[in-house]
Amino acid sequence: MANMEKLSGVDITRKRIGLLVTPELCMGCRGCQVACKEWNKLPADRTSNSGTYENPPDLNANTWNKIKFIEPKEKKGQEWLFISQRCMHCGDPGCLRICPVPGAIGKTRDGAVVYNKAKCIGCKLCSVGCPFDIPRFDKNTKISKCHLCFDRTPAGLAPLCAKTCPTGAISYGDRDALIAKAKGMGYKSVYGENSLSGLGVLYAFKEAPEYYGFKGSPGLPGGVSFWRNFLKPLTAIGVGASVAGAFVHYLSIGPDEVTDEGGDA
Amino acid sequence: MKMVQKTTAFERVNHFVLLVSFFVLTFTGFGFMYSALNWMNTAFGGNAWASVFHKWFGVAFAISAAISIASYIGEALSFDDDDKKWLSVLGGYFDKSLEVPPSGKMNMGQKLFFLIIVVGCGGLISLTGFMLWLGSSMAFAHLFHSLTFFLMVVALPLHIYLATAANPGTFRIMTRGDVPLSFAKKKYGKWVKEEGLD
Repeated sequence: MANMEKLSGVDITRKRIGLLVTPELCMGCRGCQVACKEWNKLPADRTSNSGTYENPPDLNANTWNKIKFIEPKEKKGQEWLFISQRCMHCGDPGCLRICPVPGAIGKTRDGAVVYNKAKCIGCKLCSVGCPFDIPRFDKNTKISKCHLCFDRTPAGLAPLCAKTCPTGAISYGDRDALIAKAKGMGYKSVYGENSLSGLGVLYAFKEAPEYYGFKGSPGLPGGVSFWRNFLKPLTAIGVGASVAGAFVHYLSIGPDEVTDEGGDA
Repeated sequence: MKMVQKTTAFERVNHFVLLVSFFVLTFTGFGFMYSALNWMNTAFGGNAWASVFHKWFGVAFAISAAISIASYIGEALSFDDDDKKWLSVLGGYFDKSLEVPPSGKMNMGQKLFFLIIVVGCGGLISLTGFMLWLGSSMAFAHLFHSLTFFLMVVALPLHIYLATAANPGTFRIMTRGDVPLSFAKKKYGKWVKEEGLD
């Protein structure tokens, strides 16, 4: 996107929206899962009981958000954690960096990482770029994931998961305001405040992120980061240097001509 | 002028299959790798079609590379002292006053190009290409597909230059397959002797 600050005098690219997830407030009702399916017209999944209330067992092409149930054993007994999971809407999205088709994955100017199935070629490379194992693929192997209800937010409507949440465990709003809100509630650090140029989905964790099954310091996968920052520019430079080298050799040392007698020319 | 036959029609056709598939793969590959070059994919009918071309020309490339590997691996893996000397003078390409030892059917530079670029990179880029297509170990496959692509696409201009402008007369080996005896004696002296083409 063009530098909007230069064009308009207002840095609207930094006016990001987001979600704040506060696991302590979640009671595991999974209303968010149902609301998401309802708004996005996603069919229900047929699953079987695997001995946990967690259902469906994982994100899939028709389940863009879900509550993860974790039961860590504590000294005093048992805890039961409910954590809302979905696309994190990274400020620097690995899926977007690796996607080979311009416009198949994009970022809205308020920070939602969205996709266009008409352009998606179904290569699944976004799953390589994603630090959080989020992209899932429909039956045409096209990307399917949370798009932060980008068909609601421009009209001032909250994403359905946040709108339906009865306890405020998922709250929607201006990203900076959400960070301030979490800090105001007494959470010292907000997960996702700075990593990957800031995540659009923030978590107010009272324990270390690993306790909730999250990476301590998320970043682009090493191979993708190497490819993007090093290999891509090096390939372009290498081709140019190779062509230039051949020309310089021809002009300076010159070709190896053979005379009819088989000697050097 | 007495001519000697260096390649068979089958070898030349196979080389052009490799050449055409390599160029289709490189152009669509660049179209996918750099958004600034995505316009290249328009020539193939847009990104979806470019993806189809990339996959199926990849199959052609892999088969053609496999034929090449089977054809030349024996020759490429036979080194002698002259090959070592060839390498020490870098084939005389950077200093024409150096004496270049005689070569067999392939000189040391051709052997190394073949072993590194065709066998090593060609094999690995085909394997990782199929892995990306089938969705197995994609992170590994993407990295090594890109690494081998880097080596191949940097080697290609040198390969083209050495086979055309740098060594006038060489290109005919891949079009008609025959070269003047005098040329063969200078470039592949030991091969001419072994085959009794004198």
